[in-house]
Amino acid sequence: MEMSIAFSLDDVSRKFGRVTALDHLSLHVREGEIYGFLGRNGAGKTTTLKILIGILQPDSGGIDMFGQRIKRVSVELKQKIGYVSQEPAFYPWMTANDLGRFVGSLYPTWDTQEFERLLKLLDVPRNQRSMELSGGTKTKLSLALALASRPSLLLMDEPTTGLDPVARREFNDQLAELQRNNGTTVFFSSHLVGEVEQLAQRVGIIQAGRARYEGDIHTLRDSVRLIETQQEFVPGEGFERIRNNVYRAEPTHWNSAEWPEGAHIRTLSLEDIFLAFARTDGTSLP
Amino acid sequence: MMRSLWLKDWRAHRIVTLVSWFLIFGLFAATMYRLRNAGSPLDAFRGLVIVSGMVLPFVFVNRLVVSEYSGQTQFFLETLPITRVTIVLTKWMMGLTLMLIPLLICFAIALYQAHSHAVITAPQLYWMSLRWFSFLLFVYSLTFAIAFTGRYRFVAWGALFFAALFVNEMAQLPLDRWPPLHLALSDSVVYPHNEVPWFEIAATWILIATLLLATLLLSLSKEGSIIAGLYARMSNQEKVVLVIICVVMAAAVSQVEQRKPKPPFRLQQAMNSREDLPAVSVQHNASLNRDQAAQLSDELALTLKDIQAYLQLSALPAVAVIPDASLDADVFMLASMPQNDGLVVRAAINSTGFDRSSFKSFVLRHVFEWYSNGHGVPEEQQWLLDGFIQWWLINNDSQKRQMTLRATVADQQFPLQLNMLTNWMTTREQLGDCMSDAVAWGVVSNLAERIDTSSFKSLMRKLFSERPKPDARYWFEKSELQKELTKVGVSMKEIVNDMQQKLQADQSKYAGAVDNLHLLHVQFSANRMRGKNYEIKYDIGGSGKDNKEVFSIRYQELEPWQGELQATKLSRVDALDSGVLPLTVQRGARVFTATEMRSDALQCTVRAGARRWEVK
Repeated sequence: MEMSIAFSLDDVSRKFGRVTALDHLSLHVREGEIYGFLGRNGAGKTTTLKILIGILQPDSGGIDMFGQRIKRVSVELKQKIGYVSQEPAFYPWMTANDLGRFVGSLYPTWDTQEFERLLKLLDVPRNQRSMELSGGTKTKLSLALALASRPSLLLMDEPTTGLDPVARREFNDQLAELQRNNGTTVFFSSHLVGEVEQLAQRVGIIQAGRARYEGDIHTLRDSVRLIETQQEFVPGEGFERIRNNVYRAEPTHWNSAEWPEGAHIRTLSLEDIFLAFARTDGTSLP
Repeated sequence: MMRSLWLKDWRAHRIVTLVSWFLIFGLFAATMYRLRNAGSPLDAFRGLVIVSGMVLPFVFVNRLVVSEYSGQTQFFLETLPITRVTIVLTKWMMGLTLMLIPLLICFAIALYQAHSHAVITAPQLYWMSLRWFSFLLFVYSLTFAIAFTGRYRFVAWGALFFAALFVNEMAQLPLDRWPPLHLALSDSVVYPHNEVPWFEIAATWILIATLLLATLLLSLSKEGSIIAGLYARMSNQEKVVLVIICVVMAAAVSQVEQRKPKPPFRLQQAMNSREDLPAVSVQHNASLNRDQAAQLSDELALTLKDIQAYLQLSALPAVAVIPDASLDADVFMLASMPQNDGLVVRAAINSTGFDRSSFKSFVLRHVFEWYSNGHGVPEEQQWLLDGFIQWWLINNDSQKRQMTLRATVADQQFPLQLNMLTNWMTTREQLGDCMSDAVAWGVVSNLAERIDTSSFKSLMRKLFSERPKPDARYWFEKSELQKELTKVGVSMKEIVNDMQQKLQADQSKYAGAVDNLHLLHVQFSANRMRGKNYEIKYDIGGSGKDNKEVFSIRYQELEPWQGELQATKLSRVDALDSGVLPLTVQRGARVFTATEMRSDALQCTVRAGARRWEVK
């Protein structure tokens, strides 16, 4: 059964002065899925998320959200979205309880009990000022604040940046569990391939503001391979060159194609695939 | 949404707000009490509006805007379902409300009080309220808009301050006449009448609208990225550039006075000095005929010309003399002229006892004051200037004998010490002008005899011919007295020793004349009256019971940090016996008191018992 679309970006572009942050970017995120948005630093991930939360507006292109074509994200739509930023800028004097009271008053769907449950589950102290919390606890508090309004869509901008590996794993596990229980659509950006592999069902790869891939992780893994040959070889129709001798094709193509003698077709890890998409220099893959 | 933001900001800033309100109420109560005898209780409210109008916007805007954007917490707000316009307008409204609440309460109290003094009609109340509100809203909007210049806000305030000073100087339009300030500072707001300052109100509201528009532009344009950028930290290069700009601006403003010379004062019905002499004009009137006026103007002009040539002064002020028979012979008065350049002196030129030499000395002292661009001569050099003026003016032996006698009497009162010269203002305050001039004359005459004529001339030129800078550079100039004295081979210690020896010799030489001088010893005391008020009594005691001579009491209530006391500004009471000064002071007030007597033997007014003291 075809899942309905939570939001989509069609040909969205955005410039900051002379710098093009997004260049005709298109994405389609389905309801109830966890979507990993992979890209290098400066690829345009944060700009995309800022457009989705309404902080920025696109210069051109269209946005569909919850079945509506919109020009900008209105307050009403924002009330359906939870947002976890890279470095939460909470008021330093506010405790988790204070933040809950303040943020809760802005969302009609706010669930105080759920917020309290999330604080307990995520092990966030209620009465400690935010300036006294560690980076990891702040991120967890941010997640609790985002989820307590029972959002239809949870946007996260590199939420685990700055967390140590243990804290990152804990955070991701709890996020996965919460998503399983609530069925919220999650769109998160990251430059950590392992994290995306662990959490996401579908993935989008962005490079220099352009979408290079969008689809299922397994399909991605099956469709991208490295061709190792003695002589120079260019595969025929149906193969798209990603970088050097890394090609992408329908998984069935790889079995049906004819290869020169001595050729080796190697599958790649998701990290190598990401590197092939994301790197812009001439370095070859291992 | 606005309510949520409002509650959040109230929780964050309630303590500061309540403390500010408490201080405002305290200030209002104190001002009401202090101005309880003023014409209207609204006078106290005006004072409050001016002070709080300057302070409260800073407090609230700093708390609501600066702390939000410098802490970058606006990024958190922007991710929540609130628009930027809502954020900015809520803060604007909240700051304004928090500022107005205590002022409205104070206004109501002042109105209630004023109502019992005078009838205030409804239209008057309406216009008065509009004037206060317009002024406060303008100051608040300005502070709010400047807060949105981020890290440049202090620069913006500085630029505004310098621009106001600059325009004020260039346009000679006093600041309190500018529309927003005029609304609150003018007396017509306290003592309302039916004339409505339409122009000021309209101009103020146009400024308010402009400032609000600027605020919205700064905060909303480019999706808030401008304000976020403006609140980023200042780089080292920026800091250097800003310091340079500040120095240039300060220098530019300090040059304003130089660039815009004030017109010279023109005296009507005056006889002017010859064209080849410095400009001196003397008014002719009933007490001074045309010939006498012409003679005095030429005489004064010649003195100025000679001293200018001797010291090589680069400029001289135009001097105007107004004969005034109503003044005492030994009283000379200098007019205050904020709009004109030059010196205007009033004196009883033709009256009995008028001392032409003292008069010229008075004029020359103020010529040097003018020449110093109002800075005056450094205190450690002042004795030298006073002495030089006397040395220049005293020519004949009889005058020299008189000066010697005066210096000898002064030495009896206060034996000469080195610190009397270095703290010359205190010495002059103790001895009075006449006697201190004699001491200075003695010291300078000795100095002139000790070193050769050309050295003395070059020393005087070096110290007095270089005009102090009229701007901020003045503060970096240092007194060169010690260095210049060393150059001519003399030290301060030697100068004082010489004078002490001479005075010792003169003490015995003029012993008879000095002993015949009769100086009253007057005691001053503060007597408590009703409440906290005190009156000041002067008592000539037993020794003065048979006194037949008129003596004067010179007095003044001192301001905090009061510096030099000008003889012309001291109050004076003439008396024959003990009495009470026409002055009421409060406990803790500081006063200056001294007794002065005219001495025929010295041809001089002798001051005694001068002191500054606290009323207890």
